[in-house]
Amino acid sequence: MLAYIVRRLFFLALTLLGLSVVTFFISRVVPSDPARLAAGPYATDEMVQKIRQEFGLDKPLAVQYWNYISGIFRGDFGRSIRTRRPVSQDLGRFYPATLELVLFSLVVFGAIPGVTLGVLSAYYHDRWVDQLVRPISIIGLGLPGFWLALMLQSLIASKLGLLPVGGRLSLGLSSPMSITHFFLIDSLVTGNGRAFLDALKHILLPSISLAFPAFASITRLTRAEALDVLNADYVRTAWAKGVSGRWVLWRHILRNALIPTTTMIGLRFGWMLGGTIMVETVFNWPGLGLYAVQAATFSDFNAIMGVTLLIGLNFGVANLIVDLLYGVLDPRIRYE
Amino acid sequence: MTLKRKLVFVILFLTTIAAVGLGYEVVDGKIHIVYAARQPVENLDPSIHYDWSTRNLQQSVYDALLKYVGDPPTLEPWLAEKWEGSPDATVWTFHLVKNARFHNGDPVTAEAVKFSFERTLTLKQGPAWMLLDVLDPSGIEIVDDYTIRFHLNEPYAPFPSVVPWWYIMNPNEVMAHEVDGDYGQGWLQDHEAGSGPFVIKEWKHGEYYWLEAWDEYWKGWPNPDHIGGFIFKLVREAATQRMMIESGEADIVEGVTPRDFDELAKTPGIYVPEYPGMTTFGIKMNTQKGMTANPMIRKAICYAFDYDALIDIYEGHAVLEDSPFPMATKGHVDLSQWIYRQDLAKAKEFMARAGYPDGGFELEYVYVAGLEEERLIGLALQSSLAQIGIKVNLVPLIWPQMVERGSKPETSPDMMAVFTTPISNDPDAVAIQYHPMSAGRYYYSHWYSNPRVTYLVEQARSISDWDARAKMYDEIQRIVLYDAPEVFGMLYNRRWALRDYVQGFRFCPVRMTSEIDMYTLYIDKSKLP
Repeated sequence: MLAYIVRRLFFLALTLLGLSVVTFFISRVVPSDPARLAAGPYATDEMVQKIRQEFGLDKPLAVQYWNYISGIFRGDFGRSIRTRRPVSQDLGRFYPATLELVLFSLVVFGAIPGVTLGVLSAYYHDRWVDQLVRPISIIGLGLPGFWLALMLQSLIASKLGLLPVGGRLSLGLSSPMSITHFFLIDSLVTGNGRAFLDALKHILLPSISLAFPAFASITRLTRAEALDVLNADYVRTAWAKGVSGRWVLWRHILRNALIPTTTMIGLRFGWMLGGTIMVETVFNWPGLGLYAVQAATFSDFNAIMGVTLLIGLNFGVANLIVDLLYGVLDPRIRYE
Repeated sequence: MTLKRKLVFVILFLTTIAAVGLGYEVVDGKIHIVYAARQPVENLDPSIHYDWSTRNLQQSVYDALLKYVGDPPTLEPWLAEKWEGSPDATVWTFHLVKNARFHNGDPVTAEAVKFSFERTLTLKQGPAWMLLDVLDPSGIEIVDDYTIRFHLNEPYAPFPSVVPWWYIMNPNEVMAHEVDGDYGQGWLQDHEAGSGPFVIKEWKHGEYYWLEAWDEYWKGWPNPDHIGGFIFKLVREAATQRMMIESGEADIVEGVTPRDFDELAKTPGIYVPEYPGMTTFGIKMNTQKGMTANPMIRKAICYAFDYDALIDIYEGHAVLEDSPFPMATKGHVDLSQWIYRQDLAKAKEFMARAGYPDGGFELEYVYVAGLEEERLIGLALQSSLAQIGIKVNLVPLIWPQMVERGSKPETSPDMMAVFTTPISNDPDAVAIQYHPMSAGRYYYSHWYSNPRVTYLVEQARSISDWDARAKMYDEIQRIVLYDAPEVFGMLYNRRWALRDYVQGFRFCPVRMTSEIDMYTLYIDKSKLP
């Protein structure tokens, strides 16, 4: 298995290298001059040229690419021409917020309820649980995410005042001591109950908005898979042996239905990571999505590269974890 | 756990985590208000960057020699108590106040002024462009501790009008934080070395910037109930901004939609100040290449355009330009009598004179992708020009691409939607947009060149006698209007929404889009919830 992991990581590195080439050259063929933009609307040519030199934009493309890639191996992702800070510093600031949001929403509001309701819906096929879950999951697939976010924000935060309109933590409240950079975990670990409750209040609405489509697709897929498993011989055998319903449900149906669902969850993780912009905008979540959009609109090359490679890396790692989980779920699978 | 118990648990849990607080924070008995704004502040260094959000904070922590105040705007003495220029506008002397102190207690002296101007001129970023052509670092002379003199390379009458953009930094603090000869750039990104009314309390990039009032401010405070500080909080979605001020999570918002501002103005506890700014909207036409190089075609377009649509798009919160210069500009001339308004007969007449009585050609209108107002203006332009046989193709581009295209006459679009905000109320700040020295900049995408205008712009900036200058600017406005390098559009009103306990708002049109002078704000305690 170790050899399998090493081989996969090697191919992941190759994929990221390919991604860097494509992103680097595509971002540079777009006709725009970030140096002129950074210099300001009234800047003289001399001022623009000075910035161009400072950021190495006056060098040939191949040299620029080589400088960038060799920098990465030294842990240097370049400086953002927009924020003037090292990109690694910016990513370090915004990435944990996005990752916490995505993981929390995927696990708490996507995977757990999705799988549970999917299995229950299949198990109680055509009964009231199924009748309830099916339309909810269809709505989840069709509902525009931004609309749900705005509605939740308007009703629960603005009208009822139950939860904050946006942000990650209330003003005046210090961030918990950084260990994982996830506010929920750090505040729990350090015993900072006030920060934990406040962070929880802030993450609920954005994570529900972000998770709803994932929840819907996971529910539907799990239900469909569980329905197939329900009719399988080994399940019929288990019933015939007189195994309890709960055992059959969780031991046989869930475990076998989970294999394709796990793939779906892995893919969803990648999509959600790259697609948080809408939720981050509405709920003012200080994450990577907003940083990425600002980088793109400003032609901030180094920042664009940094975000792309980071999301690519996450996709790759998530897929690897999913592949490894197959072995846990299905003992017949061997890694060679 | 029974279902009922579970429900009770959930309700109790939600109640516990609920109770969302007010926007403002009370720190040591003083109220720190929340300004929910959409634009981040990436770099606070006054030598490196400025835009409205950055200036909102820069002018809070720094002072300049002079400051723009009021409407109509006037130049007020600030760190300089008085100033004078030589008759030929080449030597400018500023006498500093003697009681000004930086936040660390150091006095603000002529040496600090010299250092600050030198630093900006050397780094060649931010506001450097304003003086780069007329002032060398060697031309800055310290006469004594509290007198500074600028010897310009050439006459430049608007010199005092740009001084408010040059903030004064404490050289001791800046140079104490210099790393590898960076002139303190790394440190000044999110620290300050100023003498302004506020100091930094907390700085969280991408989230908020928290400044608190400096009680020992050398100039004192205009009101004893002044705000204790303010939190410049980033909120990227206009709908969220509206909800925040309605729910009390914010005390000031900017940038919401015109309709939302109208609604907020009717909401109890909220007021919406509204003033025409100096930001003009125009449709710049390429005067060098393509069909719009023909002045007859440009005039036909100017006469065909439906100007009322501009007011409708802003739902009445805009005024049409009556001259190439905004109304608040010194020396502005009301040319309502000659300004272009929709007149299809005249438009067709000019099309005929251009040799295209029935039109029959296409033009592109380039605007900022995602900027709804510019798209709607494009639609109005499309239907207006269809009446004289011109087909308009709407081309949305991201801003960097627009700037790039406008930087050369060969690539500059036939028509380009451009908002322009002059940096001072001196007419030179607007007139320069019609001088070839602006080539390459986004507002020069028309590539307009008229020798007489070029001559007048150069002459007018080289004498300090205002009456003589005023005559030249009068002529410039008339010639530019006649030549029609752009469809002269409108000035949209600047609006903010404030909770009613936040008072002391003072408008000044020279400030940038949503910039507020936080120094004058105070709390009306009788209106606090």
